[in-house]
Amino acid sequence: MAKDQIISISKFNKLKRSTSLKIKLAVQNISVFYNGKMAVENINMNINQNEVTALIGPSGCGKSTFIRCINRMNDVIENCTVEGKIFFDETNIYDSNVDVVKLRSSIGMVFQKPNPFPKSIYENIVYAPKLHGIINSKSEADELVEKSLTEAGLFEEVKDRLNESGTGLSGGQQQRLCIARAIAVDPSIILMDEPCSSLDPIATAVIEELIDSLKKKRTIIIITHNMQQAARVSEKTAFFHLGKLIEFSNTSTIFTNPKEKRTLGYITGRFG
Amino acid sequence: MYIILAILVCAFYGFYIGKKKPLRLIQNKDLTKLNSSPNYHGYYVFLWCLIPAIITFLTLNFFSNFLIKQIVLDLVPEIESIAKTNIEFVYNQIKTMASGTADAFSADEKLIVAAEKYNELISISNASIFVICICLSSFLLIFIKKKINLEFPARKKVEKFIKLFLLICSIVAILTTVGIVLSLFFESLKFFKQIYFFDFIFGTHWSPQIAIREDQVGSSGAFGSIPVLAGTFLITLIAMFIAVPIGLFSAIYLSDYAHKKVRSILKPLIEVLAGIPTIVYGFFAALTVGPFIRMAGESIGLDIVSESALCAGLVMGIMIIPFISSLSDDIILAVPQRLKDGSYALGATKSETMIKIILPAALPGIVGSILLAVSRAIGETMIVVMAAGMSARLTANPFEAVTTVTVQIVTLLTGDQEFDNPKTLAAFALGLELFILTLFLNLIALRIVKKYREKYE
Amino acid sequence: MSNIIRNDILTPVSSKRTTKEKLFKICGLSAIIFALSMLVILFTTIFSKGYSAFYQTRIKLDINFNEELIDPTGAREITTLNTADYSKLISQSLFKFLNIDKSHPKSSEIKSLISYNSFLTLRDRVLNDPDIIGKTKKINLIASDDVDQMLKGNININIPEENRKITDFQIEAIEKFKSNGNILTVFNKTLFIKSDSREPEVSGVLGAIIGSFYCLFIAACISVPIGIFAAIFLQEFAKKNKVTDFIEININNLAAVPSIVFGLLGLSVFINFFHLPRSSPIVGGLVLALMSLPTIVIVTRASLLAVPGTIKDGAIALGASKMQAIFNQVLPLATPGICTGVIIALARALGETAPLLMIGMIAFIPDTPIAITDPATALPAQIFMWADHPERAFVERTSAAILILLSFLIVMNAAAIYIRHKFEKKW
Repeated sequence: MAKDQIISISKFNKLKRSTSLKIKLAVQNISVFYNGKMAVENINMNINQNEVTALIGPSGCGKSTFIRCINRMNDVIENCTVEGKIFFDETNIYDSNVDVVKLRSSIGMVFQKPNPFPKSIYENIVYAPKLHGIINSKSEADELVEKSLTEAGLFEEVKDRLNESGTGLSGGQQQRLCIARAIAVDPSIILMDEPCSSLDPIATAVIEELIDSLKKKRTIIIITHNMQQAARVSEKTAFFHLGKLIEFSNTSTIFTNPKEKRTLGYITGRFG
Repeated sequence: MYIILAILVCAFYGFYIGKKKPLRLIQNKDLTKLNSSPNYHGYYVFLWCLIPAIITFLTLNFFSNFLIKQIVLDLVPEIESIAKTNIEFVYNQIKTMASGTADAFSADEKLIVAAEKYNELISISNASIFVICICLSSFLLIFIKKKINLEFPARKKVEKFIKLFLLICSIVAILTTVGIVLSLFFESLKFFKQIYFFDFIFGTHWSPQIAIREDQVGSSGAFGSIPVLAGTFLITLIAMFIAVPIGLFSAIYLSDYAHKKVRSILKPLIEVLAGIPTIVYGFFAALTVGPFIRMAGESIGLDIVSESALCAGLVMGIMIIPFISSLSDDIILAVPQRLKDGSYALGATKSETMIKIILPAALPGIVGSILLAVSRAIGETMIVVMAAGMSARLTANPFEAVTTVTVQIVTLLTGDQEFDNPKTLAAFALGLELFILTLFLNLIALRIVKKYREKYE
Repeated sequence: MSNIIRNDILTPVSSKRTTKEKLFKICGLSAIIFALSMLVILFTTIFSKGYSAFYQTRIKLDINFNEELIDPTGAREITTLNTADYSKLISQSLFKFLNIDKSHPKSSEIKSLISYNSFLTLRDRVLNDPDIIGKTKKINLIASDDVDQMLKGNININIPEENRKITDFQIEAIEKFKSNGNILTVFNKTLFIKSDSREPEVSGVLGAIIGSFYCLFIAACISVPIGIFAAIFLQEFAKKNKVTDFIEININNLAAVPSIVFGLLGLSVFINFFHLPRSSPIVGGLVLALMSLPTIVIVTRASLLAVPGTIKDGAIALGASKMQAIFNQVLPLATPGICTGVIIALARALGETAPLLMIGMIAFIPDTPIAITDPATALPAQIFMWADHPERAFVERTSAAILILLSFLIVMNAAAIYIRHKFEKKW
């Protein structure tokens, strides 16, 4: 039975493998503690440039916590301590000289539930670029809005209503707006925390296509509960369980011939 | 008082009987045969013995007092010549003499006949009321007891009664509002019969003196309320100038920058400011702040009186800080975390997120809290009574002394008063103005805050 | 706008943004510091002005209970003892100590060194123990308020004599008493056992405290049951329709009505319409009850809401009626929250002055009230009246009365917080 399920995943999806040579992020011995209790234990992995890396695993096993280490969003949470190093292009982001604000403008994030600001679509996009001084005039702003929305595949749908509120869009459109917003600051890495979990299948398909085009210029790390989705979009997959990284290798390997028993158990649906 | 005691005794006996009967009816102590527990039967009889008797007692008492007063006063010689306001006093005198506690000063020969009649009537009435109530209670006791049987739904009936009682308690709350509105309204109506309505609302001269005699100096009483309202607004404005920035920034710091532990200490401390009685603030303003401001003004060449609007406004602002900071703090925390996360993830600093995302989102709630604070400031009495002035001046200069609506109400009503004097009635008219104003502000504020909460929940 | 420059995460963002961030944080912190320092200044000012009222100057004198003066007939009749001129005994003792005669031009200044009411102290001594007549005893008499204030340093003795309240001659006399050890500083128990008086040195807050207590007691007896029952009805039994909505809006609004309006209500309804006695605790209590009622309703509803619905459901599933479930299960669990809210509402009522002013509780009442229909005053009203008096001694007494009021409030609020911490369950 287990064999059948593996076959179904591999048969109906073209499984990919990593071909990139450049390492964008080097994670070394990352551990996260909430109030002294360990939530994520000793993660070591390398993320390759211009690829999609998927993180899979059952609920509550530390994937979100881990991903928030990469753009140091865990700093915002009280009583949360992070140990270890993450090298982003040769620089340890946990170095004391690093400016967190700058870091977050180079690493974008898309959340599980779409969270557009209660402002107009236009203002949602130009919010961060204005703060960082990327755009200085109205014409630059207009250009950037069009560019970001086009890259996110949303421009045609909203070009006539840029001044309407971002919260008035459908779920899928809101999520693409959030992606456009993240792209507007031109980050080299985009983190996605289950971006499609609150969307319908059609919107999901649109976003998966979007991910495929985004990775040409950027590196994507995506958390997903949907193994088929992981199989569809990613080159490399990491399996997390109870705060530990169990297995990390090419997507084709994970879904056809996983080395760890727990990995096999998860992807065949035995648990999680 | 013995009547009440007797009724209570009857009622308690009724409870005992009511409880015993169902127990007697079930021979084999099988309680499940009864509809309700025996206690409820007891309560039922108790209530029927107590309530009708009490109601009868109160009604009869009221009417008999009324009748007795009429009869007794008729016996007072030359009753027609006594002024209406003195009749109460005369009647009290009769009552004191009747109870035998009058001494040489308060006894009056002419009233002896009336006093004796009073005693006679009181004893008759007491005796008859006693008999009537006891008979009623006992009759009901026997009648109700007959009704009790195995299927009698005692609990349902008792609970129905309790529910009615609860409803009456709720209605008391409305009665208060009704009472406020009616009393203010009627007294103000009396006022507007003497003073022209538009003069009051739009007049710009406030000088509430009424001549006792025709030729007395200062006989022109002007009742234009604009300067008084202007004083209220000036002081409120100054108070808001202090309270809004400090309250808001405190709320921002507490919600966004402070550690949980620090916040749990600082927030209650700031709320202590709200718990201090306003008379303490008033005393502080008059004793310390007023002279301090005056001295500070002198040292830079400004002439500030010690009862300046600035002094009262400053202290009032301090008192209002916790209103704004606590409410705003709750409102800021109610903004969903995902908006903050979204902003931080884009590389915004805490201050940028706060100013550009959170505050605009929280704005309706914050405006609501400011309106509530304004309403509080407008209705504040003791600080301004002790720190602000008495003369109504139409000015925007914070260094002068102004008066407010609440100060005028206090001034007009403390001191000798007769009740239909336009001076004292003016206080009610001002009170009505104040009530309507604060009602208006409160309704808007509560509506805004409610709408805001619905948006995020 | 190339990636390379912006991705250099080691260089900080524009200093403008960092400064803005720092400034913003400092603004927030300074706002809090300002608010708290105002609190500190308030308390320190009141405390520094008031603590001196808790001790009082007394002058120890040898009083000769001269039989000639008190009871020449020797019959020891009450009326004679009552009406004897005891102040003469005091002046005699004063003159004897200072070695002056009563014909001295400044002898009246000496007489006013001792509190005017001290003759009552001597009279009470004699009435209690007539055997004291003919003997000489050392009595500690209360000094006048000017002497008291001077010794506390509140009167500036460096200004010319005509401009101050205490004369040079009086100062000399005090020095003589001091060097002989006749000046004592004792705990001012008059503040606590006596009521209001024209003379500051014998005035106290007892009447005001009793008045406040009566008012609060009546207010609690009325507002607590009605408030709790009204809240139970509105929360559990009322159907959601326009009428109950209206009642709710009403109650929320009443909680924010200025307190002076309640005073006006009390004046026109309770005093004018129902002819209840003015200035009495019963009217004060009624007015305070109406003021506290909305708050108690709101707090009770919140406490009832905080009890999980599963408790009520469980009881009903076992066969209890709705009313039994509420009164026997939910209400006891909501009690800590209700207690806390009630105590806080009553603490607020204790400090209210404006409505009491309206119903006349700012009359000068030198006797302590006994029945709830006797004229009385309340502690905040007493503070208000004393604040108006010009004498220096009343300044310190006003502050002391404020400290007493604040300590009541602190105790009540601490009790509320204690109850909340100890009994509240986190569901």
